[in-house]
Amino acid sequence: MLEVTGLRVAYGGIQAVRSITFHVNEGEMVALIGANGAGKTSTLKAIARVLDAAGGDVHFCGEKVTLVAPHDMIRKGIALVPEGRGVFPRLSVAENLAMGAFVRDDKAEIANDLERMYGYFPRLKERETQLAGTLSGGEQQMLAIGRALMSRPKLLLLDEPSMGLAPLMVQKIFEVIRIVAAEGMTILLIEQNAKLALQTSQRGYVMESGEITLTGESAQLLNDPKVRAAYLGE
Amino acid sequence: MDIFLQQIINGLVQGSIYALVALGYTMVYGIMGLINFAHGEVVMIGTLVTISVAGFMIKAGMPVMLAGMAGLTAAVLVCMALGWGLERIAYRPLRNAPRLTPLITAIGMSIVLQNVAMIIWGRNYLTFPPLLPKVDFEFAGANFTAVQVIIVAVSALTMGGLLFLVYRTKLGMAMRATSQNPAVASLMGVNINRVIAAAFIIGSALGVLAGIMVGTYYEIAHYQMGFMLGLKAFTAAVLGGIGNLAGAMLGGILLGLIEALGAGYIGDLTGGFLGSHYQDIFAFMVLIVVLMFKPSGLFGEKTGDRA
Amino acid sequence: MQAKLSVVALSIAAVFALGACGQKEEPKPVAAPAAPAAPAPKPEVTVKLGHVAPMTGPQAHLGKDNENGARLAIDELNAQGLEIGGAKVKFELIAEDDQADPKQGTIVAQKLVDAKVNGIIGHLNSGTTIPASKLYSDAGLPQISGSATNPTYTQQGFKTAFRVMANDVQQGKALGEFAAKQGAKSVAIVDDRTAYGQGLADEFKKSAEAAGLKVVATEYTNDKATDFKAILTKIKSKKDDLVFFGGMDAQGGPMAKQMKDLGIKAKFLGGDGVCTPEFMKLGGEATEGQYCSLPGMPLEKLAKGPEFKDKFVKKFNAEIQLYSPYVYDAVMVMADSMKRANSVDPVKYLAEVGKTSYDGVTAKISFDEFGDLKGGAISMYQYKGGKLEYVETIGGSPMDAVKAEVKEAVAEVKDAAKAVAGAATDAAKSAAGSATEAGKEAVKAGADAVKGAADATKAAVEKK
Repeated sequence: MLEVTGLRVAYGGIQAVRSITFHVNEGEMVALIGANGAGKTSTLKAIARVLDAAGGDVHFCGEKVTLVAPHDMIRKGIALVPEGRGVFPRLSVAENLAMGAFVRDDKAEIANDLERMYGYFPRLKERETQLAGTLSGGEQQMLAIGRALMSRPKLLLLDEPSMGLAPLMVQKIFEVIRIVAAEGMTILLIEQNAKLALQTSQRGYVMESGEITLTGESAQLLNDPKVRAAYLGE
Repeated sequence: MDIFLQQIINGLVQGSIYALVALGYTMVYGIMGLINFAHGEVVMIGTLVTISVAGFMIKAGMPVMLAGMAGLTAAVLVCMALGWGLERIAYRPLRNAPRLTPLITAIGMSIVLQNVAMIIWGRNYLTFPPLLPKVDFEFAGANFTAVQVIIVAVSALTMGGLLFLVYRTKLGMAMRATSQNPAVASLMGVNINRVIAAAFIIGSALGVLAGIMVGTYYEIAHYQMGFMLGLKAFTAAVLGGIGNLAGAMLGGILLGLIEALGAGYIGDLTGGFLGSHYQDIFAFMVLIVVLMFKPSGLFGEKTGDRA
Repeated sequence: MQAKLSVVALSIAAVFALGACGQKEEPKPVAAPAAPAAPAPKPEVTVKLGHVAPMTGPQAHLGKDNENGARLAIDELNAQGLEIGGAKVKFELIAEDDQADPKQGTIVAQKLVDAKVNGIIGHLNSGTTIPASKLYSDAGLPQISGSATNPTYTQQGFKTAFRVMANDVQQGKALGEFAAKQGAKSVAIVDDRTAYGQGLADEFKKSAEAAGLKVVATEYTNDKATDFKAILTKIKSKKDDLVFFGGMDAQGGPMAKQMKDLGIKAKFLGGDGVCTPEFMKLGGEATEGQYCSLPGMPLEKLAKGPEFKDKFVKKFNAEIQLYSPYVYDAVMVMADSMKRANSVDPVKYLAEVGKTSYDGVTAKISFDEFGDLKGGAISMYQYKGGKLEYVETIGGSPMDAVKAEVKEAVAEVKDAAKAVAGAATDAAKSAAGSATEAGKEAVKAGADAVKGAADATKAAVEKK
């Protein structure tokens, strides 16, 4: 479904991502793990067109999307849950979710999806009219994921959903991610918490200094001694 | 008491005009953090276009009301285009430049527009065609005219309409989202350029409306009329908390009232030490005091939660 | 740097311009002041008079009018074939454009000083005349303006500055007297805080108070304002009969209109700044019945006015705008001074300008010690049916001045008579019959006083 070939990202003269190639198949959850600064977020941003790639191509559902306008990516079916959540602080919870459905016109379906999100995250239902800026970090993460799902994407890009959250909250969020994946959503997940990511996903790529150094089934990677030494702290 | 009432009416009318212009500043600032100093000039050009178009129509024998509507329509269209053009030509290329750069550009655009208007309409004062019938009222010893009533009513309606647009429509939600986090709004499918252009266009249309009110109220216009009006409206926006719509409205009305009461009573309050030429000082003193206790203005959000 | 460069460029351009003009003239001997009479052909001397007014911009029509006034005077002088200092003189006008801009005014002033002109006629505006007058004073060049009314012009202590029109002190005074004459008892004063507006308002206030008017409010605005409702509302609460405005038409017009909106019944009165068609345009019907003043007298009321008008219209095929008769007189006064000094040298004829007593088109011109026109006339006008209508002239003609002095003398006589009567009753009371001698003396003293006063009156009348 997603084909990334020779993608490069540069900030000024510094190469953050050096020609990486990988793919995500329909219906699978793929984890992209690596240390801080390995180029994971840059990769995701380049796919979602928040950043311009310095080279290489991204194909989505067979279509080249490397030059699509950023605000059209969601129409193509790619939704990004950005690092740091990025909720609209002075919009209510309900309005934030409504923003997720900005590109959709089917009012009845949107209302259904809203109820579905409240089903995933009952906490959001409780805080429906509250301004998003007043939510806790975990609640904001829930909101960000719910908002992305409101667009009914074909591919969900998750950037560090566990970052800065209490373990209990991380658990809750990953529960929902698993449910969504089980419902057939294609997901590309970026995580520093490699163990959690590999436990949740089917396949994984390991990034180091802007390059993919290792790839394989998640279960295999979990058992790979190099991965265990470098990312699982063993 | 009748004098006090009269001053309140004076202030309310003047304040309504300030509020409409202030909305233009605050909308653009709210969305892109830019103080569009050329906004006052957009107001001026709207007024002058109305004079030309309506004046021509009246000469051609059209009924006054119809000519007025034609003038208004032409002015709103011209200024919407102007607002859009300003953003497209002067500000968009500088979207990622340091904040000072577009500010200087804005001042530059203001001077350019003033001079263009001077070339087109000349240096002399122009008389605004009397679009509304002259009707005077008297209430509790205070005199006011139909024009004044209409100004306040139209301002209130327009502001109500704007609040509806921003808080009850999809475009409004997109505007608010863009003002809070443009990058994420773009991820949600919002075309940032379009939203910003919409803010400029709507702000300009409000400005034209204000300009036409100034025109019908004072019945004169001039290529430099936008400067002082813009400055006062900007002050009103800051007083209310720039970036906040309700703040701009209340700030405008407050400023109008402060000015009227200041000019009316400052001499008596200071025993003749300060005369009515200090009315601007009075207004700015209130501004300073407000900013001392509420640095972001009366209704301004704390700057911290700007994402 | 840029500005400096352009100034340099301008002065270079000016030099070239002068050169070009110079070539067009017939060859002639260099201007030699008071040259001794030469043998066979009489030497001819060219007298260059600098004239400055805005020739471009919104006041260009007034500038052209001024220049025409000067040209008419010069052509007449040349036709007369004047001889000064034994040489035939030919007058020549060097006309400059100051764009009504004080900066440009000093630039062209310097240009004229450098061109060694014999005298200056102008400028048109007070704003340009005042800064330029310093340059002319430094160069010792006599300057006569036909239209600059700000008092400062002649109050800077420059021996070279003169004007043939009433100044704003005289105008303010006349306006105050007029207000009293119209029966106003109380007045509110508004000024725009400019040199002109504030100056005029201050003079008006002095005069109005002296005439017994009560100033019930003093309010201020500025020369960019459009809204006056707040100050007018305050004025309304004072229920005065008159609102005086020291300022220009761009504020005055809307102010008159807003007075009407607020239901203020008081009349509106202003100076020459609001005595314009523009005032009427901006004020609309609210200007109907309002009063304003202009320095000078309407041409048709002057003895030589109609004649001047005929000459002017015939020569230029244009109507007189405003100040050209005054500028015409200014040139004539300057030429007259040269004649009396028998020299065209500024150093020599300057002293004679101050001693001028010239019967001009606009007035009998003589100057006080400051260089201001003595007894300058101010005319009052009223807006009626979209037109300015002449009402009356205050001050001005020498006859008026005499009348005033006679009135004073008559008052003295009356006082003296009262004193006589007082003395007589006192005497009657104290001397109860027997002291008739003392009574007689008192009566005699009273009679002497009356005689003295009568003499004073006679002297005053004769003096005139």
